[in-house]
Amino acid sequence: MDDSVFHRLYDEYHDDLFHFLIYLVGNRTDAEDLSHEVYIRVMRSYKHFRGQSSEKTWLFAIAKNVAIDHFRKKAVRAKYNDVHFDWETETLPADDRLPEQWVAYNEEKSELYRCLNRCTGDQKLVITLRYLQQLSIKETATILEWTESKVKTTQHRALQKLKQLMNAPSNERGESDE
Amino acid sequence: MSKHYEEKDLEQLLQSMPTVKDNRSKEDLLRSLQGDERMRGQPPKKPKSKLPLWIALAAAVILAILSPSIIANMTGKEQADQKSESEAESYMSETKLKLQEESSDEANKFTMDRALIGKYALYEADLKQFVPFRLGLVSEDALSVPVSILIPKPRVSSDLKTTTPTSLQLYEQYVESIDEESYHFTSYHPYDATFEEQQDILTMRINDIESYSGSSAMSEIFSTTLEQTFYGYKELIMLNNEGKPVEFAQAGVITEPFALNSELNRYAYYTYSYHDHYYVAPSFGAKYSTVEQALDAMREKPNDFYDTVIPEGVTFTLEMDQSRVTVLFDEELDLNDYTLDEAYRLIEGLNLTVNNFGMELQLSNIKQGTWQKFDFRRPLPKAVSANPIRFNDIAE
Repeated sequence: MDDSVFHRLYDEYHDDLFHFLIYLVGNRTDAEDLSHEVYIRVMRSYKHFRGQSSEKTWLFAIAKNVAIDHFRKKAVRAKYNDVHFDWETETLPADDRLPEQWVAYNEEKSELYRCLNRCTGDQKLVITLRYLQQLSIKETATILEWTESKVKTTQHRALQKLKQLMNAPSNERGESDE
Repeated sequence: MSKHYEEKDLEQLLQSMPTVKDNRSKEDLLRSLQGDERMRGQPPKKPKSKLPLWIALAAAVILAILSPSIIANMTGKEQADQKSESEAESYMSETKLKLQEESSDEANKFTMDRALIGKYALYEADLKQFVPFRLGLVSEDALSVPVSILIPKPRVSSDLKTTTPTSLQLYEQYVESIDEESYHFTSYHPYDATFEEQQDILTMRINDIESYSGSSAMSEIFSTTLEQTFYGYKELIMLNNEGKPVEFAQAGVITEPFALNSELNRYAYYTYSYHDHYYVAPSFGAKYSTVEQALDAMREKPNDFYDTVIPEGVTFTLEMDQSRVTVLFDEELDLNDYTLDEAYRLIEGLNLTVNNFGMELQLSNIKQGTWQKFDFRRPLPKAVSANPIRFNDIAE
C-alpha cells in the first residue's frame, strides 16, 4: 500500500468524506466503517484513476457506491422480514442516533436532519452533495452518474419534500422528537 | 415551531448544518487500513518486463533449449513451431502460476487444485477423480452461490456403493458434513424436508414452509438454491408435511411441479466477490431467454453485488450457429495483461454461460493459442458445474 497516496488523500478529502458519510448513515460507527471501506477501494483502484473526472468527484463516487451497498445490504437482510426497499422511491432505513455534536445543536437543524431522513435515498444524496458538500450540479451529476437534469429535478423534489415536512405541525411529521 | 419555511430558508439552513469530524486520528485509520487483509493480500499484476530474475533466467534457458528444434523446423513445419512455442508459453504460465500461488495469502485457501482443468468450473475430464456434490450456498447478502464440492471417487464408492450417485443421494449423504459457516456462508442447509426420487422426478415434503416462503426474497433464495443443488431431475414436486401441495405466502398454492433444469439453467455468470474469495454466479438467479441476451447482459456490471467477468475495455461480437457460439474479441486479447484469476473468470464465466444454454463456446482472437490447459483453437470443453472447491472435512 502506498502510504504517501493515503496521506495526501486523507489531508485533502477526509473531512469532507467523513462529513458526507455520517450525514447519510446517521451514526458514527457506520460512518467509520464505511470510510475505511472507501479507502480500501480507493487505494486498490487508484492506479486505474484516469483523471477523467476530478480526484474529489472520483473519490466521492466511490463513497456513494459504498454507502449504497451498505443500505442495500441492510435492506436485503430486512427482506427476510418482508420489508421491501426501493432506493429510488423509499426513505433510507437510517439510524436515528444523531452524532453527539448535535446535542449542542439548535432544535431547528436537528429537526431538518430528521426531515432529511424522511426523504428518499436519491433525494438525500442530492441534498447532501449539493448543500452539505457544496458541490456543483455538474460535480453532483458526475458522482451520482446522473444527468444534470436529473440532479436538478431530484433536488427540486427534495426541497419541496423538506418544505412540506418542516412546515407541517409537529404531530404530523410522523416521528417524535428523540 | 411556528416559523414558515420557504425553499430559500431551507437552503440556507442546509448550508449551515454542523460539520461532523472523525474522532479517529489519521494514524489510527492508516493502521487499520494496513491491517486489512485486502491491502496486503492483493496479488500484484506482473508486467512481463518485470518478471523476477530467476523466472526470466528459467525462461531463457527453456527457450535456449527449444530454439534449436524451432530453428531446425523453420523449413515450414508450423505445427511443431506452435507446439514448441506453446510448450514454452505453457511452462512460463505454469511458473507464473506457481509464483502467484506461493505468494497468495490465506484468503486464497480455495486456490485451484492443479489437477483440475479450470478454476471456476469443473469439466468432464475432472470427473475421473472426483464426484461433484453441487450445492447452492447462501451468503450473508442473501444470495445463492453455486459451488461444486469435490468428493474423491473412492470415498463416494465406499459410502454409497456407486460412483454415479444421484444428486439426492449425495445431498443426503454429505450435506450434514458441510460446515457452511467455515466458508463464511449462512447455515442454510439441510432443507427442513424429506425427499423421494422416482427416476427424473423429485418430491420434497417440507416441514415448515414459512421458513422458506415468508417473503419474496426468501422464496427466491429457496428456488435458486434448489435448482443449483439438485440436478438430473426434470421436476420437483413440493408438498407440505401432510402430503398436500404447499402454499407460498407470495404465490399461493403451488399445484404445478417446479421445473429443474440444472444442466440448462440459462444463467449469465458474473463475478461475486465475497469475504476475499471470488466466485462466478448468476446475478440474483436471473435467467435469460437466449444465449445472446445472456452474453449481452454480461458486458456490463449488473448491480453493486456482482461484477462483469469481462475486463474493462474488452469488447466482443458474437457468431452463432445451431450448436456453437463464437465470441470474437474485437481486439486481440492478450491474457497476460490480466491476473491469472481475471483471465480464468473471463474464460470460464463465458463458458459456463454458453454451456448452460446447451451450446459449446469457441473463443476467437486470443493472442495465446493455448493457455493453461485450454486450447483456443477448438471449442472449449463443456463445463459441468461452477466453483469447484475441496471439501476439507472429508478425508481422501
